[in-house]
Amino acid sequence: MPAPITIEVDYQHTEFTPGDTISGKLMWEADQGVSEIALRLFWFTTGRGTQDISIVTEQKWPSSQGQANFSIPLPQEPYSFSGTLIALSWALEAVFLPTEESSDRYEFDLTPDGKPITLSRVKSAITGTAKRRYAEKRNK
Amino acid sequence: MNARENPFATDRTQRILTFRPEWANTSMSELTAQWEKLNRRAEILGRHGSGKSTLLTSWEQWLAENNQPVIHIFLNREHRNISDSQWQQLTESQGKIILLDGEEQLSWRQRRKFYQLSTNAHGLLITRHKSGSLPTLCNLDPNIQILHHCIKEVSPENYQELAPHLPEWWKKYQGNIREILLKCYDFYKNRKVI
Repeated sequence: MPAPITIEVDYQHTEFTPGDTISGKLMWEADQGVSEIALRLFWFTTGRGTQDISIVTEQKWPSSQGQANFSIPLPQEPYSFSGTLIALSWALEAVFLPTEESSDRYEFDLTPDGKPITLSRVKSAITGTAKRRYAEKRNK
Repeated sequence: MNARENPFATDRTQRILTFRPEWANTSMSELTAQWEKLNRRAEILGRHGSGKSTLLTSWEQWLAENNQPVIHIFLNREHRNISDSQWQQLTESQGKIILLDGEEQLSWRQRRKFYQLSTNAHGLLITRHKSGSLPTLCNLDPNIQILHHCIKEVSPENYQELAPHLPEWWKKYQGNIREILLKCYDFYKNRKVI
């Protein structure tokens, strides 16, 4: 069964740079009770601990319209990155209002040169008990 | 394994693990009937990581499905204060249900103000570790079997590998399911993905 909202972007890739514009087309089939369709540009973290989410911009259309073209300029930051403890991603998400029921999502990376940023392990990092002892020693 | 691939990423576990009343030998209809009997003013008790916040989130969804306006306030050790905008919401709580997660974080003064403002609300449900001034709706005391259910639910493909570790982790983290899920995250964190 097709999603009630479909996001079609004008690209085959998922890597973007600051200042790029993401454009595409939204198509939807709204049930009764849905007044508007919202397209949100946001970033979110995933990993070990509380998730951070920030909606950067939102565009809305009346549900009766059935489809709409969008064009959204991307901000300068924050950059997408990926590590073992935390990763930051960007996404476009289409939702029905007022229910906030989400349907389609397009995830992508925003980096300075369009290449993924992978955080590597810091070999000399002091962690665990050694970190606590180091801090205690410094504070003496 | 990076954070996007880790099956125990916190946002993923929170999305997947909803409150299952049957795991606590009750039902949602039983809980809601009891809440009505308590004039819709009650507390949920339980130790750290016992599922209080998960139950409160399910409660909010149930209220939303019944078109009931909700004010949901979440407090923890890092966020111990009700914000100005939340205080403003509480002054306009008539006809709404107030859900307060982490009531014990409030100072004596804040608590007094909170209960004064909530008297006109349509209902009030809070979470605490130990009994306070409201009647108790339920006391969550999960056993290790619930932890097994949770792991199976979050990552069925990893369950067989994790199951032998669960009794040790259950003991080490004193039945704190949230902490054990983080332990599972760490278990896979440094694993290379082939």
